[in-house]
Parts: sequence; C-alpha cells; structure tokens
Amino acid sequence: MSALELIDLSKSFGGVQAIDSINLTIDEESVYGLIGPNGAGKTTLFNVLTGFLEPSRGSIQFFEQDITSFQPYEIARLGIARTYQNIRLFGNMTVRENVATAQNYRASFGGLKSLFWSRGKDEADLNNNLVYLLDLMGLWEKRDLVSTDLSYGEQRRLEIARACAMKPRLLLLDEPAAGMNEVETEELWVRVDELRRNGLHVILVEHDMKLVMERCDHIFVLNFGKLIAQGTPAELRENKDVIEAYLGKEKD
Amino acid sequence: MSMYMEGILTQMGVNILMAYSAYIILATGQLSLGNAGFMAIGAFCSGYFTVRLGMPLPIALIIAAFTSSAVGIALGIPVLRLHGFFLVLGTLGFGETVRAFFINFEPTGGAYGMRGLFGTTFEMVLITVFVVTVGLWAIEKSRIGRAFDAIASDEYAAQGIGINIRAIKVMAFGIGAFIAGLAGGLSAHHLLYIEPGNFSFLVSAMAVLFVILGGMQTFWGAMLGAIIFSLLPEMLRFMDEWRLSVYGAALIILMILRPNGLLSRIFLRGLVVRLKR
Amino acid sequence: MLAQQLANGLLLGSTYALIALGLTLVLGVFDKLNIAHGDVFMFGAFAGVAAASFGAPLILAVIAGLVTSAAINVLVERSCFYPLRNAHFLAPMLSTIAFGILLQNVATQIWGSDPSRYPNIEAVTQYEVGGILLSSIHVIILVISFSVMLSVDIVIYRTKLGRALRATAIDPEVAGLLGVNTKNVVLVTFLVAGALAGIAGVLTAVVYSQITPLIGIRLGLIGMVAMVIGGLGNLRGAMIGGILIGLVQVLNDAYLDASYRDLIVFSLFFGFIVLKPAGLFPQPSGNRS
Repeated sequence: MSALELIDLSKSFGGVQAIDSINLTIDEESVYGLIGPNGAGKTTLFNVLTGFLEPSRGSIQFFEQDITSFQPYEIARLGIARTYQNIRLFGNMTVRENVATAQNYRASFGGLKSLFWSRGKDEADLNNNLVYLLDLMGLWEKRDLVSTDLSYGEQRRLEIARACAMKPRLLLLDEPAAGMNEVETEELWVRVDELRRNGLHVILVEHDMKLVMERCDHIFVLNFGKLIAQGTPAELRENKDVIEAYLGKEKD
Repeated sequence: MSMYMEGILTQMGVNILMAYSAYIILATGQLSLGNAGFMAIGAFCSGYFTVRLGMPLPIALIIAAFTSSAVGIALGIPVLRLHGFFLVLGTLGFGETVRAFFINFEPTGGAYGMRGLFGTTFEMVLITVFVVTVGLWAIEKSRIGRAFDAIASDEYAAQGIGINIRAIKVMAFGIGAFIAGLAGGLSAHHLLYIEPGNFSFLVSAMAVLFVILGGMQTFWGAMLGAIIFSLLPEMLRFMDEWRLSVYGAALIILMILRPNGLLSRIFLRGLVVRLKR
Repeated sequence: MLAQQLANGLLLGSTYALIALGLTLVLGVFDKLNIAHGDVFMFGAFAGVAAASFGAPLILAVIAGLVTSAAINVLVERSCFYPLRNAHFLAPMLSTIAFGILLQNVATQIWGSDPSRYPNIEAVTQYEVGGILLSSIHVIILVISFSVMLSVDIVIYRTKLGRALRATAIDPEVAGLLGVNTKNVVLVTFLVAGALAGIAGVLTAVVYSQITPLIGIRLGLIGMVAMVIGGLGNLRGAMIGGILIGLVQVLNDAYLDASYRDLIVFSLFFGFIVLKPAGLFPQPSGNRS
C-alpha cells in the first residue's frame, strides 16, 4: 500500500502553473526531499497536500483514500501534519499548551470518532507523549514559557513537536533548518531521526543542499511546477537536468 | 435587600451575562455587534411564553435561550465566512434587523412591545450567572477552550492541527446567542415592560465594551468589566445629570490607558503563582 | 405621484449620501470605522439649529454645523484613533462607540432630550415643475448637497490632495515614502468627513424640522448601510447607496407601511453583507477583506 500518491496534480493561479501535472508515489517510511529553485512550487505543493489550496486538477491519495477535496482539518486528522516556512505557533499559549492542543486532534487512524471529549483513559498516555516530545525537542525546561518568548530555533522545534503531537503518519517539514547554523541543524536532525523511529514518513522542503543530499533517502526535484527528476542522492548527482536546473541557478 | 439594591444587582447580572455572550464570541477571534438581537429574541420569546401561554418563567427562559441559540447558529453559518469590518457590519445589521422585525411582529405587540412580564427574582439571576460562569470555566479548561484559543491566535495553524474552525466558530456563536437569550429573558421579566427599542445597537456595543475594558483573554475579565461598568453610573450619581457624559468620557480614557483591558492572563497566572506560595 | 416620490427620495437620500461619504472617506483612507459618525452628524444638526434660532440665515447655519462637526470629528481622531493606533483593530472602533455615548449625553445636557425644531424659514416659494411640487428650501438643499458631493468627487479624483488621499488609502507606507504627509492626510480626512456630516445634519434638521440627541444612532447606521450597499470604501458607491436608500424609504412609505421602513433597509443591509459583501460597486483594488 502506498502512503501517498499524487496523480496528475496541478494548481494554477490565474494562468500561472504553480504545480504542473505532478505524479509521484511514496511507499517506504523514510525521508523524502523536495527540492527545486525558488518559485518551483514546493510550498504550493505542501499547501495543496494539506488542503489549504484546492488543486485545479488531479487527485491525492493518502493510504488509498482520496483526500483531494478534503478540508485542511480533515486532512490533519487523517494523519498529515506540517510545519510552516514562517513559524505559526499559537502565541497566546505556553509551550506545553501548544503541544497539548494538537494532541486533542490526534489522528485516529481510519475514523473521526474522537471529535469531542475522548480523553480520560488515555490521559496518562497523552501526558507521557507530551513529556517525550518536549524532552526530545529540548523544550521541557521551557514548557511554561509563552511560545513567542522562545528563540527562533526553539520555535521551529516547538512547531515540529506540535505537529508530532498529532501522531501523524506523514510529516511535512517546510524548511525546518532555515536560519539555523550547522551545529543547530545537525542537532535538529538527530531529533527528527529519533522521531522517525516511531514510524513516520517525512517530506522535507529544504534549501540546504548539503542537508538534503546527506539525509534524504529519496529526492524529488521540482522546477517551474514540474517534477523533473527523482531518485536517490547518488542518482541525482549524475542527473544532467537537475544540475542544470538547480545548480545552474545556484551560481547567481 | 432594598428594592434599589436589588434593581442594581439584577441589572448587573444581566450585564454580566451580556458580557459573557460577547466574550465567548471574541474568544474565537470573532466579534459580534448584534448580541442585542439575541437578547431581543430571548426577551420576546420568553415573554410570549409566560404572558400569552402562561408558562412558568424558568421553562420559558430555557426554551427562549434555545431559540436564540438556534438563530445564532443559523446566522453564524453565513456570517462567519466574513472577516474584519464585514463581520462587524454583518452582525450589526443582524441586530438591527431583529429589532426592526419585532417592531412589525404583532404577536409580541409590535412597536408598542409587551406588558405584564414579571417574575425575575434576584436569586434567579444569581443562579443563572453562577451556572453560566461554571459553564464558561469548564469550556475554558476543555479541549474546546483550547481550540478557541488556537483559532483566535492563528486560524491557519489551527486548521493544520485538525481543528474544524467553521464548526467551532459557529458553536461559539450558538453559545453566545444562548447566553444573550437568557439575559434577555431575565431582563424582560425584571423590567415588566419591553419594547423593541430596548434592544438597540448600543446594548450590543456595551456588551463588547465590558469585555474589552475588563480584559478579553479570560471570562473573568468580562465579569469584571460588567461589574465595574454597571456600578460606575451609580457611583457617579453625585454628578447628577452629567454622569452619563462622564461615563462616556471615562470609557474613552480607560481605552487609552489600558487598551488590552484590566485583566490579562499573564496577570492572572502571576496571581495564581503568588497565591500558591 | 411617482415623480413626486422620487423627488422626495432624492432629497432624503442626498443627506444619507453625505453621511455615507464621510464614513467611507475615513474607512477608505484610514481603514478605520468611526461608529460615532452619526453622533457627529447629530451635533452638527444641533449647532445649525442653535445658529438659526439666533437668527442666522440658512447658509450661516450650515456653516455653523459644518465647523462644529468638523472640529468634533478631529477630536474623535485625537481621542479614539490616534492614541490607539497600535492597539487591536477593534479598540479604536469601540472607543468611538464610547465617544458616541459621550456626544449623545452632552447634547442632551445642552439641548434637552425633547425634539428641537429648526425655526420656520420665511419666504418659501413653491415651484411646480412637471407636476412635482418643490419648495424653494428643498431646491436649495438639493443644490447644496449635490454640489458638495460633486466637489468632494472632484477633489478626490482630480486634485493633488485627492491623489495624496487615495495613495494613503492604498498603502500608507508607500504614500509616506512618496512624500505624502500621511499625518496631515488623516487630519484632513477627519475634517472633511466631519464637515460633510455637519452639512447633512443641518439639512436634515431643516427638512424634517425635528431633531433629538439620539437621531445620530439611526442615521449613522443608515450611513453604514449606504456604505455597504455602494461597496465598502467606494466613495461614488457610497453616494449612490445613500440616494438608493432614500428612494427605497420614500417608496416604502408611499406604497407600503411606514413601519416596514427599518425592516426593509436593515434586511437589505444584512442581505448585501451576507450575499454580496462587495456591494453594488466593488472597489477595484479589493485590498480589504
């Protein structure tokens, strides 16, 4: 069973094809990289995947369920969680509350049964998960701070903790290492690796080519909204189209 | 208790309820300047049930509040698609439409209104305020309260963690309309006589002002705002006929001095920490 | 008969148009809603009545109302908008509600809560044009309100000041960079909006001869209705919206029941907001949501 399948997915804004007939499939639980020059359609693809934008054509299958016309909240509850390029934390809540709020809508694999008041018996379980996530992201000490009082890197990590509190099956990370130095990036990666042990598909949008090449098992390359290449990092290093589209752009 | 005191306290209770009804909608980052419309529905419905049908007041109150809530939900569905000034004007338009409707609605006396409403006791108001306060407290502590906060903070991210923001906003509208309906019914059976003009735009506006001045991050702020600004006109009695002008000026000055209200969550948290020591 | 009603509607609608124009100027240029606008209008009406009762001719009464309302509107800006410029967008709007309460009560203290009357104007002649009966006063009022509307339109769309206003409306920061003194623009906007409300106030007092300290609430709301129907932020739309409402009201009174007046106007308002929030004449820029 494939986890995610995009069939002929397209999105246009007033005649501009932001995403152009993309077909791709994700099976294994591993880290997928999504790269491409600025304006290649990476964030648009994330927004379409999570229901914030409606595709103009094509379909999205998530574990063989057609989620093409689903609302963002429905998609989130089915198990696709994301972080944002511009951090979007709940600024009126503490660190702990940010994560706890997301726990309320944990993906209930296969159904939407737990709309209201489904707590109680798994209260302890939720709390363990919360402690685990905050600890893993290095935020336990700061749990009672208002989220906007955190440093930039901490805010990014809190966003990941919040996304994972939903127990997603697919995690979309939109430039998680933006603005971080090498040490912080490396640290972040150790944390994400740990998260993946619980079983998780990850798609990563990233500008940091080094990170993508080192850490992704499989890479999709977008250019002008089209999927121009895919493969393992080693395969892509040899791919002429990719070098032309991506590395050619890097020079200027 | 003297009649005078009872009158003031009853009015204060009604004001607290109206502030709550505005608060619960503000808690989701929305604003209604039409809650007087829900109040009118509560007042005229309950009045119709008690005066025309001879129903006991508590039952009439509850039916009227549910009616108001149903209208609130029906209204919320189209109106809550709107943002900013459109939402403000839409709710304002709703309130005025309800008022204009009752002016032309003969079963409740049309423009002349209804007479012979009575039965609101101070105890009844006290119990209602208490029950609604407990209810709001429970909501604030529940996952729905968290969802309110999330929506007020960032609608986009709220959807991203699985919150159905349309449903939650409409729910807040329904709850707000329910509370305003209770306030309307209680107020009507205290005033003995009601007319559509009692439920003007200013009533809606005052409800929101109570919350903003008291602090809109917690329902305690709504309560505090309603209490202070119900008592202020009484405290200004020595100013005679100028007291309402001074009242208006005081509101403006307070707005300048404390644009985020008197009570904030950070203040309350600090208070709790200090009390625990 | 119909022609007569249309003439009456035009008369009523032209005052609504002036109110809506002021509201729209502030909202359009400044992105803020002044809910005390109706009460500023009311104060202008009383100032005009006061001047007339001292024997001032109509034109001086109009000027008295204009100056009073313009001054009060600047006071609104200074006490409700300027101090709260960095607060939540609701804060200044709510502050203007408090300002409205203040104005209503001050007016009650000065002029009493009973209706005040505009003194009878001598030397009224009646004209009959094609079966329509118009008094000279009505003609003067129509001339004043339409020439005011026309001049506002010319100033906004044809002059340097108007360009500065429109630039500020689109993007205050860019306008500032382009050398527009946005502080002055805001002040001018409030002055002009107040002046328009004052003129409308005096004209309303003359036509209907009775005013109370609470008329501003209803007239302010009607101004908002006109603004929405015309398309939020669209000046010409607001004027047309005001005239339309005047016509609708007069036709309602003539052919239906006067008590339906508010029901029809506010249902229209509500219907527009829900079904066609952009109004009849949507702003082309469409930058507001």
